[in-house]
Amino acid sequence: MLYLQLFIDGVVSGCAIGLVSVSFSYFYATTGTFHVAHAGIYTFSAYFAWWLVGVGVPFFGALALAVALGGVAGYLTQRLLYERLARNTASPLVMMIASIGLLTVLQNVVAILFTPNIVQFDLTWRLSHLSLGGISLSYPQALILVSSLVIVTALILFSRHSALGKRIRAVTSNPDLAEITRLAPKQVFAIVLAISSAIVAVPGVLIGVDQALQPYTSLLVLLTAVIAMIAGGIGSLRGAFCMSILLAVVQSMSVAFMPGRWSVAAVFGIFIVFILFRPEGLFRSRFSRAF
Amino acid sequence: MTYFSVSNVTKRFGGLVALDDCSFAIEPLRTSCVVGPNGAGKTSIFNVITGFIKPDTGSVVFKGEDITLATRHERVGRGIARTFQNLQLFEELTALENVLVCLKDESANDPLTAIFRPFHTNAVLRRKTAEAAALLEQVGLGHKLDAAASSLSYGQKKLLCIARVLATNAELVLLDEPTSGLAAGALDAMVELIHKLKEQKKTLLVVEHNTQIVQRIADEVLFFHRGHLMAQGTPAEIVANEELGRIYFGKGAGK
Amino acid sequence: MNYFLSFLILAEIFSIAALSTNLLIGVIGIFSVAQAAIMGVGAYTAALLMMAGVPFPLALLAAVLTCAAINVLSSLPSLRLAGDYFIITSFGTQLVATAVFINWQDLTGGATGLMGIPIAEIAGYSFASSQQFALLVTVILIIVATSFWLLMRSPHGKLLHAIRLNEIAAVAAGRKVLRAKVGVAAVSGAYAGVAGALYATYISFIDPVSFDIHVSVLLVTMLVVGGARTLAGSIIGPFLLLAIPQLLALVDIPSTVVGPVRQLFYGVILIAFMLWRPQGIAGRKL
Repeated sequence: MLYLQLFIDGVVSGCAIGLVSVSFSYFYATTGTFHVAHAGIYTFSAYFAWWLVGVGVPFFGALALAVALGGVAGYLTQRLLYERLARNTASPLVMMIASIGLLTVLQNVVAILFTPNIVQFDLTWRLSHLSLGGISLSYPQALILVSSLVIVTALILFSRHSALGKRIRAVTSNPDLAEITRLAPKQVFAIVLAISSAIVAVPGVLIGVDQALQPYTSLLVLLTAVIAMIAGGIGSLRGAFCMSILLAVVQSMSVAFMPGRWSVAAVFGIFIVFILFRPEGLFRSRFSRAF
Repeated sequence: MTYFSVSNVTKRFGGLVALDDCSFAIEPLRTSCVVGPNGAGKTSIFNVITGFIKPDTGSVVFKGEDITLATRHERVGRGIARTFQNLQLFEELTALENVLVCLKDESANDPLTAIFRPFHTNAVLRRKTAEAAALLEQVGLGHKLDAAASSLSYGQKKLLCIARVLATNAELVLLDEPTSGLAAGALDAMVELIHKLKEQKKTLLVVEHNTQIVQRIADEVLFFHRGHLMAQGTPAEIVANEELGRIYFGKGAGK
Repeated sequence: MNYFLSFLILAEIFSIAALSTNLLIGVIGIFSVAQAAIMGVGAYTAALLMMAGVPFPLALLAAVLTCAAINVLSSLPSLRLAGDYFIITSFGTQLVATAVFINWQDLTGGATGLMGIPIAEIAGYSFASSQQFALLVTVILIIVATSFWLLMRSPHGKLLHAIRLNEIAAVAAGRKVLRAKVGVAAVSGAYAGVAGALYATYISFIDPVSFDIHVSVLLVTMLVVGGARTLAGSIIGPFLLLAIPQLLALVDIPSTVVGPVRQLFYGVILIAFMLWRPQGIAGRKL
């Protein structure tokens, strides 16, 4: 039963990491920018929701506002930072260092505006449990499970079937061509980062409710998510999501065999094995970037 | 013993067959031009010979030794070097430095020597600088030693590529479209340089589109079509072959 | 006077670490946000050996060798592959190293760290006062900086630049690119080891926070501000950035947010330089 519970916990946290991974992957596959600051938006929107709940806003209202804030922050990041850098013909390295700068800024703005301490949501229901045949699932966990499945499905459908989704894929597959047609890649990039950032606010808030909020730990979540993205095949949303769950389950089950504090090393070890033996990922994507 | 041969080389990229059971051999000290329509596999065969792509099947033999699986630097060490159609210069380095880093001479080419034997390194640096300058002089860039590669004209960049290939001291030199995009004056300079290389006992394999240039430089022509060798012969024979002309120039345009 | 000397010593130690970062990011183009972790390995190695009674020069040598090896190992998986895998390996190395520093308690003292690391002593001469230690660090910085300069101007240094600019062309010219990368990773690791050992014996106390991801990002910031690829850049950067906390100390801000405010400054500087001056103050464009 312990293993089953660990397995379920792994699946749930995998779903949350999966949202981070899928949203990171969506932007990365489109623009090629290694957006480390994704972790900053994750933290920032989570603390924003915590603050809103603290001043009396109902939880779902706070969640919606955090998602909106994430979207706006993402849009502005592309327009004010990445787009300018691209105009200066910045190398990918420069883009990423700027992104690390933005991550540092966001984390510390959180620490200064809200609090540098670990905090928890003041919500009575966050400790309530659902029991399903001996497996226990807390309300926040159930919420993570449902919302991540809904969001990932919605994103995949959006990408395949909506007009905007198709436009984004057109830009992804050929940005140079898109530049001279009427696809307006700059606007598309900003929209993609807005969508990605809105999505990443959801696991930010929900993991915060399920566990706790910390200003500086989101990088570890992002690292796991990016490893899942690479293992799943860059550009494949389904691959990123499935690999996130697999990684999180491995991480969760590993607690039964070794001290939990070594799980970072375990995930990283899996990554090394992956890039040595299967650098193109498990799920080869139809529109992966060549590198 | 054949000097250099490619036997039954096939390379597929997904559904696309870049090289299809391709075989040929070349003699030392001759200049062979590789011609053929776009997509005939000319650059692919260069990539196979220099180790930039691994063939699915087949072998490459140089001076009696199978080098099909040799690493790229091993091949250069044995004496096969190439230029690229898209130049691949070190744009931010000077012309001199571009040549200097390609010199075959490996002495003082490790961090420990550089740090712990500064005087020895200094001597090596002086020697290599002189060598590189001589090579640049030879290709006609003696006046551009300290110019950044990015600041050179297109024709000068192409000459610099030749100087770099000479720096490796290769005996089998592969030139990928050395004359493409050159204006008349630069073109003549390049042809002259190619003749000079022949005098220096280099064996040349040259991808060339311009039939007039082919006639000026080639001892032999290899005609590629759809990934394999269609014909091999003297320039006169190839030009006289009407079927090849039709393939090359399209239907109805044959000479 | 002591205040100034401690600033000088720290800035010089970080200059050595910045040179290590410069070699990787600036010269050969291997991204790294793990140089603090490597420096940490050097610090722990030297500290443990000195606490066990090993003389400083030997402990320094051990730190140098260990760090050279670790830096090569940590970059090895990425050396095989191009592109953004570097980034992950590097973040991963940093996070795993911090996890090891915290969790291998028997060796590293866990989160509380190691205290009472002995003062450096060479052949019976103790560098106990700030003046004496400043002299030691200055001499070592001069040695490291000279080696960097010698390396950069050698034919091998030119090759390292060439590899960053165009790896395919370097391979086509018959250069052993992998060997050059391993070599540069080893030298860079050695520099980080020197910095770590000096840090440990100077502060006499080390803990995992001294070498966490923020310090690595600080090293990248130092490189970016000073400017990549030049010797001057790697010295200007640390001196300027370490002056920021000193200046902040003059402003009256609540003690709980001093750390975050300092970090915020670093982040803003990083973005501003990338936007308006990617070549830094005295370097070349990244």
